[in-house]
Amino acid sequence: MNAAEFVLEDVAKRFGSERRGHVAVKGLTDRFSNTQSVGIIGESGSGKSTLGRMLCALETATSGSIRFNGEEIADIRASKPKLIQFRRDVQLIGQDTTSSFDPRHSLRESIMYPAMSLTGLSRKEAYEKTDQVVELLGLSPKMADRPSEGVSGGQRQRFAIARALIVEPRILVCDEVVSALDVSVQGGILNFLKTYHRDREAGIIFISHGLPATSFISSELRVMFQGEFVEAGSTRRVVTEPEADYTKKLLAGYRAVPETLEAEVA
Amino acid sequence: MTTATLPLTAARAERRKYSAKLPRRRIDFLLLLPSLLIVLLAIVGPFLTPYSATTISGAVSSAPSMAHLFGTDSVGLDVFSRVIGAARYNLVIAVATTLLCTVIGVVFGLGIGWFESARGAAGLVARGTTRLFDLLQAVPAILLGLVIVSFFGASVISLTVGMAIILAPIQMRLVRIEVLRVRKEAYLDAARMAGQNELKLLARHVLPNSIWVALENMSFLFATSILLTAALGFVGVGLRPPTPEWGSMISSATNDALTGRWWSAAFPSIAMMITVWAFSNASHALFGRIAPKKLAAAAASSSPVVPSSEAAAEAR
Repeated sequence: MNAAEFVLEDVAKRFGSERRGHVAVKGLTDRFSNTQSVGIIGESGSGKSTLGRMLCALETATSGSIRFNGEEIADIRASKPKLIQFRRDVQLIGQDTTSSFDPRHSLRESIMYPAMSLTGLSRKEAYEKTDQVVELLGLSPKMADRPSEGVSGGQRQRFAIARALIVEPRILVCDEVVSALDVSVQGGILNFLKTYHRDREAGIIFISHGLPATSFISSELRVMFQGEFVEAGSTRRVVTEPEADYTKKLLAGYRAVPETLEAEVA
Repeated sequence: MTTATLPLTAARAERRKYSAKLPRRRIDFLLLLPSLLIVLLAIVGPFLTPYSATTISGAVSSAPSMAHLFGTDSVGLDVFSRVIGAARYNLVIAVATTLLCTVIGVVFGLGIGWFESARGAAGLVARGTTRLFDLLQAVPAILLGLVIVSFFGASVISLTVGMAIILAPIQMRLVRIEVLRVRKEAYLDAARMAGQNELKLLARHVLPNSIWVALENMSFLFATSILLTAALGFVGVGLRPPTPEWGSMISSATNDALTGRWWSAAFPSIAMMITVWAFSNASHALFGRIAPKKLAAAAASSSPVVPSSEAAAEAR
């Protein structure tokens, strides 16, 4: 398995003009590799989704540099073969479970598409691989022939994960993947992602506002507040000995469930 | 020859077998039937009518009788022959207008909706075009039609183009709003992650998901263009009399109706009503939105259009 690594240097993102615009992300410097599972936690509007979109080359940074395997994202975006290789290596799973699939296409069609366009599989190979990936996620391949409205929210999210995994990415950016789901459904998906990370050495960047899920899945944490990392470190350290005031405040909100947290971190 | 075509068909067979398309909705031919009958009538009708639609055939303003089924109008033209004869003019104008204004509206709606919040030149052009459409809608339709027709003369083509320009902003607005909705959908990001460029994105996801409003609205525009033809005829810039056309027949018969001679206005009105109804059914049959829920049920219950994994395994 080839290694994959993001290097961020002083990354900032501003929406709108310099004078009236809104700064979503500022001064981020970090590294994410395929051996890590990093949780990025913060409240709504803290810039964590923007960071995720920048990592996926869906959004460009206003300043600073994001490099993937040594190559600037801007250069990757400018070259078609590089972008295709990048999309094979980095995939996104979004938070929206209702509109994550085109309602006019069958789930299978949506899942087959990246396999054919990114990894160059034939239709037949993509069809069969879809069956495998869908089964890996504990779903019946028959269900994939339905449109996205034909399955439940939790199933749809599993199909979304299948769509991202069919190209066997090296790094998975998970943006609030379980936030919209029932707790019972969350567990299954989190367990799956954790096992997948361990077995395939695929990096996970887990963006969420929920601490229990994030600390369960990630060995490292970044706490984001108003576009900046206010705290970074191993999950155990951040949860047990927080340094930043914001982290302490955030943890205080979870004091009601200390045992579960402890259990998950351990 | 066979060796050359064989791999092609084999590839096609494999394509079909591993296609993952949702089952297509069947067209309900019963809904299409009335409009097909009207089209047939428009084509063969003038050969079957008892009188010419454009020459005087009897006494002025005679009531419906065996000789004149729908009576005669104030000039002595046979109303039945004219109602039938008008069908082809009205149908050609209304269908062409509807299609043309939908094409214009979809192209502009897609472009404007997609680019209007973009920075730079594309966004500027898109926003400028919206204002241009506003201007177009601010001018009364009749006045605009008057200008167009007086410049290019009253013909089927100038009427069609003129009315298409008048009605296009309606379609543009509908499509634009849908594009604004669709461009926020998460599946567009998913498609980008699957390596689709923006052009492919528009063709594969944005257009199919935003065009349906314009298609469903076609039945309304069909009716509107028939009424607009009539209104233009009323102010004297429609097709020149004695060319049969329902709108001008109705407008020239209003005086008859006021004095109790109802038939010269009533029959073209009824013809117009039936036509609008028939074509709105047709448009529903052809372009009615596919309800995804129904498709889901169909895919789950009926024999699958795509092979199941077991079938695929068997094939291996």
